[in-house]
Amino acid sequence: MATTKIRSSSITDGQVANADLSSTIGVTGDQIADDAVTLAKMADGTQGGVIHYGAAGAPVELAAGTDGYFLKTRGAGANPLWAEVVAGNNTPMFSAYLSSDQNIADATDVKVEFDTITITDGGTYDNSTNYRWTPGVIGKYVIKTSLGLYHVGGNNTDIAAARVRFYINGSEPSPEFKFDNYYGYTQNTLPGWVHLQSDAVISMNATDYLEVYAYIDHRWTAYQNYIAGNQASYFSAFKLIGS
Amino acid sequence: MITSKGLIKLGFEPSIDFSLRDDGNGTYIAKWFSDKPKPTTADIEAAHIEWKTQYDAQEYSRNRKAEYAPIGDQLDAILKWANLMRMDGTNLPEDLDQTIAQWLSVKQKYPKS
Repeated sequence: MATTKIRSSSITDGQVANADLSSTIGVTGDQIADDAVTLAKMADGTQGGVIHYGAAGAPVELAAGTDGYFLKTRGAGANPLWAEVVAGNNTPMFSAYLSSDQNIADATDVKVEFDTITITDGGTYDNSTNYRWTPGVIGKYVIKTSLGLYHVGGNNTDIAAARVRFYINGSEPSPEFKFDNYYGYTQNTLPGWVHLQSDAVISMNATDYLEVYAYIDHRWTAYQNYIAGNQASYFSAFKLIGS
Repeated sequence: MITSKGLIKLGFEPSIDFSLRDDGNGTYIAKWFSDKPKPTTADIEAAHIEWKTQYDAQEYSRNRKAEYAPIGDQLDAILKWANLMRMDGTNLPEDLDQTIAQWLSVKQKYPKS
């Protein structure tokens, strides 16, 4: 059949009816003006869903996720997804104090027997036998201790040296990783009561355990040395979030 | 019993020659740094008793020291007495004479208000 060609100029504007057009007419991208496709022209989806590109490059809908979840990217090679926010708490953690004065030998590293737990959440603090904390979870921990150290009687200016030290798994830390707080040897310059604090951030495995040792060198007299009780000395630790 | 006093009496220094430790079951030598042989527990106990005997024997001295007037007050009293002697015409040793002169000049420089 012969094809009849009609020039566009021969057609009056608005005279071509829909019925005269092919049902498979193709519209290419360059025939659509920028910003011409409105949201109304897009197919409806389900409320709460989001559109992203899939593995084949085609846009796909990610259906609405759980209430409270956040959209989480997994990089260029995977589809995003809805993810739960990790709870932000510093557990395991604990705090304990010394309820009464502890008499300690002179010039000796003595384990401090913190016997009263004020707060604990996760991990294990042994407050009756070994006086040690085991976190039970691998992570990075903030550890702290504060000790009141004094001696009874005599001249209150003759403590030669005092220190507090953390022990990990029964041993003092290596020299490059010590957490000492230390008064040096200078006769008659230190007060009879010293308050020493020490803190650090350390990595611990689940079964590692932590203890505190105190030291007073009071060499010039026979008087007794004490770690102050009645909550004047305490020991605490907590895990850093996300560590 | 192992004590730092006993070890010190034997001539050893804490943290330099030895390190003691007590995990709750009594004191023991945790580390021995000295080049000299580590003494026996009996040696340490004997040295501790010796130290304690000498320490107790000096109790009178500690008691006197605690109740004496401060050294400065005692010295001030002696210089006042020496100055009186000086004003009465007593020839004092040159060092003492100079000390009194310097003592008086300081008093003059900072008079009581």
